[in-house]
Amino acid sequence: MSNIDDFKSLWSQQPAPEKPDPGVLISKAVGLRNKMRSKLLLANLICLATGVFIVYIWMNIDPKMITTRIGIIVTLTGILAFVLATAGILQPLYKSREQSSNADFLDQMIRFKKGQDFMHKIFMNIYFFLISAGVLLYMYEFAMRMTWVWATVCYAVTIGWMGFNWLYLKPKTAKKQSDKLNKMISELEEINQQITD
Amino acid sequence: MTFEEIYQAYWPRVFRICMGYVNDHDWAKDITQETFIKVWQNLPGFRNESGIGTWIFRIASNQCLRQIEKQKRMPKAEMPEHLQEKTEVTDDKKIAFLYQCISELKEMERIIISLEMEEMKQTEIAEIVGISEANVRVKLHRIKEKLSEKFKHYEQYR
Repeated sequence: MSNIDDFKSLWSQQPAPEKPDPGVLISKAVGLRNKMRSKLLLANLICLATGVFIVYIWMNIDPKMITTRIGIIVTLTGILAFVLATAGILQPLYKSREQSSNADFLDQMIRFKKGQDFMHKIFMNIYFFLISAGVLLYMYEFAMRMTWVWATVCYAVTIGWMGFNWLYLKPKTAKKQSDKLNKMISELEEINQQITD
Repeated sequence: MTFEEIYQAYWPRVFRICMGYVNDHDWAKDITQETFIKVWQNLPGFRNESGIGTWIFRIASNQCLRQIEKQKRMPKAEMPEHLQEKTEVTDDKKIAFLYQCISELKEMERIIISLEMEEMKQTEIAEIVGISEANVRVKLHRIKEKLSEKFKHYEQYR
């Protein structure tokens, strides 16, 4: 059996499963859209709550030095940036190409994944930098009130912990993310190659 | 065409294309559903620049390509147990074998041959995939040879 018509006849005999009711499908689609909307709403609420929290801290605590306040704000900005970036509200661009040709779609997907890899690296650095700078600034006022021995111990422990994060945890997490994305990118490029072959 | 009409007419066709791509009943059903959700979402913006079939199959094949993001679900490469028995080969087994063979092809080959099986014209396949018609012809020729070869082997040793 090697005739294309034989293949076609076999192909069309594949039993298709029962179609779900179109109403069920549509309500699923509406559900997905609402989920996206509530995600956006949640992200906005988090932004707003952080803002309120910053104002609250500004008004209610009474540090003597400006570095303490700056420290709190910088740390919170870091946390906020992390929440927003992981909330998945940055919609992949290639979704808008779902109706174009496979070649076009693959191209967009590869470009997006490469951009995502780059963004992850940049973003991780910003996040770690903000958190570290924020905590060190925040500590400054309290360290000034300690004896120099305790101040040194406090800074040494904090900087040690940050060093562990920078030098061990961050590269490890970044590598894991990057490996996953790179694997996907090379698979996509392999498929793209099939188009031009 | 209303969504309902499209849905009735294209559900089995889209399912078969997805089945050719992943050769897994449940997985293919999921991709088919995802495809029709996209169709429903984008139907108001559809301007008839291409035929409705071309448009739907473009969405379906792109949904298949996106499965790369779901790495945990790998295509079933093994033969169903009952296919390994050397008994009389019924059409059911032949159908399963055909889909098995197609799902073992390279990703783009799976899409191209599935579209051919769905009686799409070569110009339409070219439009969906984004390559020239001449290129479609060359690829189809190669794929058909591969399939025939596999079937010859299958029929010889069953």
